[in-house]
Parts: sequence; structure tokens; C-alpha cells
Amino acid sequence: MILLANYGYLTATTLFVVGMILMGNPKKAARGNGLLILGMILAIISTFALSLSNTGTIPWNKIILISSLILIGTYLGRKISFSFKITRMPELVSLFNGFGGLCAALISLTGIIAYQGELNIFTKVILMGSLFLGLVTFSGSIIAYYKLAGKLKSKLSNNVIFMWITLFSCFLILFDGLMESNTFDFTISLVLLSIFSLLHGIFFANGVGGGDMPVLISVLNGLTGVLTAISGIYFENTIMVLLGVFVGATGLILTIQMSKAMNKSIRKVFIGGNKISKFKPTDLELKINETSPSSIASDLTYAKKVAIVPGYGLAIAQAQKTCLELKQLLNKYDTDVKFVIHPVAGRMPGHMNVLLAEANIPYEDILDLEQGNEYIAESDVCFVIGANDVVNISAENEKTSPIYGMPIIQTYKSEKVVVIKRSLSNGYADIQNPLFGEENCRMFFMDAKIGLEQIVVDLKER
Amino acid sequence: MENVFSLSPIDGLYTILLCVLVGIEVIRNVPAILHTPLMSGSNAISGIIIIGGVIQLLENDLGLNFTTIISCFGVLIGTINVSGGFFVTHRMLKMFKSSKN
Repeated sequence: MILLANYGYLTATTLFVVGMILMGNPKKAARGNGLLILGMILAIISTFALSLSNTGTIPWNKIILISSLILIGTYLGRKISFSFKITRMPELVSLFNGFGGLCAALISLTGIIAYQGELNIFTKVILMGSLFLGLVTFSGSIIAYYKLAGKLKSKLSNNVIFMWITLFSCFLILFDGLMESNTFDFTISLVLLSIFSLLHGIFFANGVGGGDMPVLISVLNGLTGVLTAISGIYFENTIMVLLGVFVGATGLILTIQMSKAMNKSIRKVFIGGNKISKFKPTDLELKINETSPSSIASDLTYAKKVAIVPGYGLAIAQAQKTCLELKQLLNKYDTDVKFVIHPVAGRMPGHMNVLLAEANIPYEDILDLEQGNEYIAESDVCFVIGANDVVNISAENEKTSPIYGMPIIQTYKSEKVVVIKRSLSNGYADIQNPLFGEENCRMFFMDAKIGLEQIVVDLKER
Repeated sequence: MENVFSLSPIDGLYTILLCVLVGIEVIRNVPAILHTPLMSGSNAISGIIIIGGVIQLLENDLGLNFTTIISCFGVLIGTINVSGGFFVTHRMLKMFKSSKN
């Protein structure tokens, strides 16, 4: 039995690592996900086998209880995951992440209560630490969920201060509980720790601005990984440590990539998140050249290469399907159409790509920042739909700009730039975009979907 | 529970070190278009933490007490995280299509 469990865990680990490697290839990612599921099932079965080998008898009642819990959980998870639209994916991922955090917190709470008398200081640190982290992840993810759903917009002016106070209180209670100085009864310490951890999670997530959501989600994702690894150390279970570290690494890498793509330090996202730099570049009088749907349509038909830069505005207007239609019409004129996506377009890493995939746009036609900029340099028309900050040229040429240094999509390198935008208003970072006044830039003030539909109608009539 | 998998601290550190390196290497090679499924997938596998809950339930006496109830709730919530994460990942990956087919 022990051997079985041992090799079961080993096989599961192999499945997980190979699965994650396949997840990096668009063609094989679905198979990779299948391997991850197999690995998970195998790991749970091995855990049963391990327990049987230790006790010698088969505790049927427990096995039935656990299996039914797992079956109910699987059913509920499936139900929840299918009840969300693809546009709401970031909310769903945060929600599930919060569940993971809560699960970890409950497990460490059980550990503390069941073995209260016989805990040494090391296990106490681990358990209380993961109770704290688990509850922070839980409440933080729930706040992220509500923020992404647009149900929570209030910003507290003293948010950062509350964040530090709650964090500090958590550490005091933790220290007090560990030292057994008996200021409080141990149960009261646990209750207080839980309350302050939950509060800390709330303030921690609430301080992050809407545009910085991709960083917050990555950090919370990484935290559940760290939690899993810590619990693995407590249970002396290698596979938990392995996977926890793996997920932690995912969170870490994505956090770094996202904050790099936004040119914002991680510290700034969480502590200075609310304060938008007061120093703004001088508002210039921009010479705006307006254009019409029919002239955009003719520009597009004469072009050999067209680059489309979609922003979150496109998703809000639900114009992805119209984008595909436009692309198919242009392909008939032998025009090559590629989509260029900035890493922080959307509300979580890779969000925009999923939205385009939902509209059946093949992934070969979607380029990342680097390939995209090369493509734009050769293109005849660069078509910006609902994007603003990621194409703001002040990030490149104006040292006083708050976003100076942020890597942008270099739309100006194209022969001609066409922008569909509802108005000349500033983007999320609230900075004027000098691109709109450039000589080769044409503006079409319209809702993304309606504007695209007008262009499509014009193209069809040709 | 006697555990056959317990590692000596130094073995554990080696494991963690190698895992971090492999993890970073694997994740770095994932293209930006797959970042969302990657996240929901890794979210699902971090739910391996339910193993801890399962161990606790197998190990402790099943009386109708506070610890049993929170353990059960933990396993249930954890499984929702695991299965939900995998189903969502599957749903998203199904949409990624190549122009060749």
C-alpha cells in the first residue's frame, strides 16, 4: 500500500509538470489541462491509499463521507464555472481563488484546534501563519471579485493606514499567541486573528485601483500557492509542497510581468495605488483630424497589412464578433489582418486573448507586444479600437509623464493610424494622449461596436 | 499518522529550490495568449491543499464536533475550487482555435 501511494504521488507529480509544460502551447493546452485533472484524481486516491497503509483497516464511513463531499464539490464547481460568461472570467478566477484561501484557512484551523495541547512552536507558526494568509487571500479575492464585477467602487481615503493597522494587529496577536503570554485566552486570540486577517485582506485589495487589477489577481494567485506549500510542510506531504511552489512561481512571474508591462512597481500598486501622480504633462492643444466610416473602409481595402489594436473598450462594447467580421471581409481583399495585444489589456493577464478567442479569431492572428510592434512597422493602417493608455506616445517621449517608460504599442510606426473612440476623454491613467494629434492619425468618435458595424456595412456594399 | 514521505530538512530545501527553478522556467515559456487559462489552471492545482483536509478527516475521530464540521466544509470548498478551476480552464481552451482547421 505504501509503495502504491508513493508511486501514485510520483506519477501525479509527473502528470502535473508535463501538464503545465503543455499548457504553454496553444495546440496542446487542452491536453495539458486533461493531464492536470488526471494528476489531481491520482493524488487524492494515493492519499486514501497512504492512510489505509497506516491504519491497516478500511474506514468505509470516512471514505464514503469524503467521496460524497468531493462529488458535491465537483458538481457545484462545474455549475458555478458554467454560469459565468467569458467576459467575466477574471471575476470567476478571483472567486475560486478565494475558495482556495478559505479552504487553507479551515484546514489550519482544524489543525490548531484538534492538536491544541501538543503543538510545538514551529507547527504553531506554520498553522497560525497559514490561517492568516488563507483568510487574507479569501477576503482579498472576494473584494477583487466585487471590484471586477463593478459592484464595489468606493475608495477609502485612509485605506493604506487601515491596511497597515490591521497587518500590525495580526502580527501582534500572532506573537502574543506564540509567546503564550496569556494576554488572551487562546481561542480569543484565534478569533481576533481571524477577524483582523479578514479585515487586512479587505483593505489590501481595496487599495488597488481598477487598472491595476491584473497585478492584484496575480499576487492573490501566488499567495494560494505559497499557502499550499506551507501546508505541505505541515503535513510533510511532498506533492503539496511541490505544487504549491509551482503555483507560487506562476503568481510571482505573472506579477512581475504585469507590473513591468504597466511600468509600476509592485509597491506602488499596493501602497500608492490610489494616488495618481499629480504632475501631469501640460495639456496640449491637439489638432484633431476626424474621419468617417467610409473613408476608414477605403483606407482598409487599399491596405496590404492592417494591425488592429483592441482595448478593454472593445470588450465593454461587445464588439469582438464584429471585429472577426471585419477581418474576414478584409481578408477577401487579400489584406493581412493581425491583432496586437498589450499585456495589460483587460482585467487579468491574457484576458483580451480569451475574449478574441471566444469570437473565433484564430490565435495565429494574435500578436504580443514585441511581434506586434514589428508588424505595425510594416503595416499600412493601424486601427485602434477602444484602447488609450497602451498607445499613449507620451510614455516614450515625455519624461514628465506618469507613465513614462511603460512599454507601449507603437501605433505611430504605421503609415496611417485610425482610432475609434467615444470621445477625446483621457484613459484610465487620466493622461492626455498626444497620439490623437499626430499628423498621420485620424479619429472617428463613436462607440466601438456601432462604429465597426458602420465600417462593415460600407465594406459589404463595395 | 506516520508519514513515509517525510523529508529531512535539507532534502526539503533541495526539493523546493528545484521546484522554484523548474516552475519559473516552465511558466516563463508560456506565451501571453495563454496567461488566463494558465492562471485558472494553476488556481485549480493549488487546490491540491484539499489533500490536507482529506488527511485530517481520515486521521481524526468522526464525531459530530466543531473540527469535523470545519474539515468537511474545507474539503467541500476546496473541491469547488479544484473542479471549478479545471472546468473553466477547459471551457477557455476549447475556444482557442487555429486558422488551419
